[in-house]
Amino acid sequence: MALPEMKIVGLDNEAAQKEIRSRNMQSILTGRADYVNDRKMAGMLWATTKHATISHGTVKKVDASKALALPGVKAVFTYDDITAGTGAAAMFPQKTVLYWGAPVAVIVADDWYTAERAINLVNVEYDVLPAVVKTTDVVGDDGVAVENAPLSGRLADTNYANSMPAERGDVAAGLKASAYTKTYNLPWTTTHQHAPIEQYTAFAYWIEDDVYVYLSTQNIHGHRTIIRNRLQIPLNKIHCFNHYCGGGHGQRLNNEEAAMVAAISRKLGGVPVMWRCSKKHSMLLAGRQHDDKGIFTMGCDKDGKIVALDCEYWTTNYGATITPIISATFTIPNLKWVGHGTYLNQPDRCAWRCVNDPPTAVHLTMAMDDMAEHYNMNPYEFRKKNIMGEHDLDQDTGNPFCTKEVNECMETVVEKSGYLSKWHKPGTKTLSNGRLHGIGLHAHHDSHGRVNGNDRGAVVLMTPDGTILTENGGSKPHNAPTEMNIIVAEVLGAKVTDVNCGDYGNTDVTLNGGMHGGSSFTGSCGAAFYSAAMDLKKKLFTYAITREPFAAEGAKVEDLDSKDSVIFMTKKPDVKATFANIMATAQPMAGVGVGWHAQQNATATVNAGLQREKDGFPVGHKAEWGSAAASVTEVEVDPETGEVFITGHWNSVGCGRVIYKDGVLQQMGSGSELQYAQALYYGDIHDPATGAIIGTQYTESQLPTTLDIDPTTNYLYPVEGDDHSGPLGAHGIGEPCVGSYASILAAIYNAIGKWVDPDHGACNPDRVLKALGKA
Amino acid sequence: MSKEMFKISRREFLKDAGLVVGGATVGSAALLSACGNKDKKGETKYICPIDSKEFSSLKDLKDHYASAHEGQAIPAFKTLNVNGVDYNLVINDYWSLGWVLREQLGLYGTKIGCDMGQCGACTVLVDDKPVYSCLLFACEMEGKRIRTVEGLSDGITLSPLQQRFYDNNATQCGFCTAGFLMAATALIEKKSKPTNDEVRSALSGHLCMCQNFKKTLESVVGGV
Repeated sequence: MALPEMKIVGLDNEAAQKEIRSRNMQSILTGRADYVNDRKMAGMLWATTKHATISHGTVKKVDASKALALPGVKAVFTYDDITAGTGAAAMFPQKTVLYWGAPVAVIVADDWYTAERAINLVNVEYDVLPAVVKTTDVVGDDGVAVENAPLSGRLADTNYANSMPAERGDVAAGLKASAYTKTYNLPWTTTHQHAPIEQYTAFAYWIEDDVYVYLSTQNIHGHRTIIRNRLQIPLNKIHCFNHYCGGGHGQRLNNEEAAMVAAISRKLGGVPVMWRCSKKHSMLLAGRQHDDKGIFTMGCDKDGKIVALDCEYWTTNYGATITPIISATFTIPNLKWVGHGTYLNQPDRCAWRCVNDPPTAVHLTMAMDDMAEHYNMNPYEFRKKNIMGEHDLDQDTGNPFCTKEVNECMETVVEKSGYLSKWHKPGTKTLSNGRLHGIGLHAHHDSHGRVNGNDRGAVVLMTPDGTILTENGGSKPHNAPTEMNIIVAEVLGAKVTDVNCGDYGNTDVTLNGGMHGGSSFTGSCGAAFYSAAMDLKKKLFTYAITREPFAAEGAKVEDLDSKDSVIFMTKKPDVKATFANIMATAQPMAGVGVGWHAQQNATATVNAGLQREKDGFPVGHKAEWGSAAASVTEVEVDPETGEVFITGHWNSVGCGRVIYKDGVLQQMGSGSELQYAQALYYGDIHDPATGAIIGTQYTESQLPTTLDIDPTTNYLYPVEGDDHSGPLGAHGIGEPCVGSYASILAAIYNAIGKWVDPDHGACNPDRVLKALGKA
Repeated sequence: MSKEMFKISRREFLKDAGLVVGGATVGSAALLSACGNKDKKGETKYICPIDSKEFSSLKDLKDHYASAHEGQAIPAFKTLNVNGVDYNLVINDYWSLGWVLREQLGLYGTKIGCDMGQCGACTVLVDDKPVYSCLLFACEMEGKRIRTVEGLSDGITLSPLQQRFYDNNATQCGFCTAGFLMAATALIEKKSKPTNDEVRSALSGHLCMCQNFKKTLESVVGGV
């Protein structure tokens, strides 16, 4: 099936790709881009948070007298002053402490330094409770619950939750019928701080009953709703702004800092208050990628086709959900999954860079590579026997997939890397420099590229000079708005340089932008902008036929088309007028559009003009989402130091239609570099006795630098396809690179012949040496 | 790339910088220096320590005190040379250079990330060397030549290095970008055509949570 024709920007048109780039990037490069902390108002106060120094307990008493005596300190707020919700993303001071670092007081002062200095002058007394500070307190390595473990207090009467059994086929019968079965006790994967460079921050002030809030978030309309719920004021009294948002996406969603600072400002009579975490505290509050453990039993027939897979799964401080990596990458007729959320007195986990995808990518790779060895195949051959094809149907629902390029991605990286000529039996190749050579492969279809959460809306304005402004409730970096502007230009038939970003991240003038994230913005807001541009085009043509030269021709709307910001009659191309000419006598026009809000609702009703027929299924038929990726990593491992050197990384992502090539390449490049970091560097160090987090600084949590990562070894191959439900065939690609984590671990295994146990951390030299039996 | 693309109207600037919000004016006159101040080199500014308003002479500041802050004495000033402009202002001894650049001079292009010398987002050039402005006391910067991201361009045309970043799409969220730009500027001023290894070394004091190293390094390797 052919992609919808695009008139404007092709994948290889590099000059055009630069011309159409959103001006937002220029603001960033010149220092003009305004982040929350870049605001200043007369009389503005600064606030910061004191955090708990116990892992579990209750705040008994807060003595702020010494802090309040410090010149410049204006107020100290505790749970008793600004009570609000608790829960996963609590930023308000807490009465019940569930982890070391939970917020217990907020200090307000004339300037930031004074507020920070006062933190240590606030004395907090606790009633300390037993804490569950490591996973082995709760579950044994065999997956059996520890008896009489203390309760973390996160749940009413258990440390487990969200057991989510799922099964297709008959796993017991499948395993019994298998020619070979093996059970894999798979290790805990990496957790690490989300560690945004821009700290958690928010700014608020009141004018009478209206509150104005600036915050750094992916979901500004969601925050407005949180403020309404927490402060019990009407939505139309809440004005939220978020122009630029510092990275660390995935955990800049529905926290409560905006509601908290709004509550503080209200307590202080509406004065402007800028609240900011210290970096240490910001890293304590930052969500962590959850660490997961699995016990898999896999059964195959005599030829190496998977017959059955039985998975039991544990996550830390997060619900365990089955992922498409397990259920939709390979043909597995009999599949069973039981997931356990395991809750500790540790900071909250989050789903940045995917839900369970990175851990399950690692676990499935470990099991499949071992199974390949049993069948005397290389990992590619084993996957090739089992991988799903582009037109295979979902094994649970029988629906088609919107897009499924996993096989093509795998073939691409295998070919580009020379994998088949480089692969060898694990632990068998030593290079002339004394290092061990390894190469690893991973391929998966994951849960991203789709839409979830709230409705998305978009507004497209045509101004009297014939240029176009796009407006949305998302934040305002440059890649996503550029992509949106291209979609609008394409639908409207406008010059892409005539389309500019209007207001983004302003709840007063935009529709809900939903969660602004790499995996959802293209599909959701892209669909909204597509619809908004269609709406505007209809209005523009309806007005145009009342103006010359079209009125004299008796033209009807359906007689018109547009290109390069010129409207013309399709049968008389010389009868034409520019947008500017038509708009010269018109009021500004607005087109409004809404994107779909859930994958199962990607129907013709919502997306008329977007969805197209797929594999014989009619428009409107439900389709499964997801996106695909594959990677090959080549490493050298120093057997004396345990150091791992990535000498090549080939990354291929199924992108659907590539609308903005530079943005796609950037997402792919940075996505895979993040996985270098997750595999090799990040650490989240807890004191096993107290649960205290030791790694609350960048240096301790081992964020990689340009000396750790050589991007010149990162080769990117977008696989262009057709997402039949996406705007112009596109979908999001924010997360598919997570599989690189698995291919890196697989490469290390291929080098040293042993799987490194991440043990909640990264495969750093210590753990590599341990795997080599040298630690 | 057409230079026309980078011409910015005041209306666009106000919209981008978010100066007017909810009927309240946000920011001081000094914030306008964020619009690029290469063309202001050699100027002298006096910053009111009470309301951060900016004046071009001590007499104007005294007049301002007489009308707006009657009865209050003008404290002793220190002079910081930032992007070629001499700023005379009051500096508390515990203020960092980063704080003064942002909160006193309105040069918000310099970002404060960790505030503890680890992330590099606050990097500026002092006498042509990249430094973490969060770790330096502003009161010790008298007599030194300070450059920030706002000084790289005139507000209309990007510097060659900024242009390389633009052409390579070398920013994502942008929070760390100014730090990378300043460190890369220092490198290229010292070595016009740096190699990949030299760039990796020079930029190794900077963290990027978007992990955008590939595009950033490609923008610096080989010079401009």
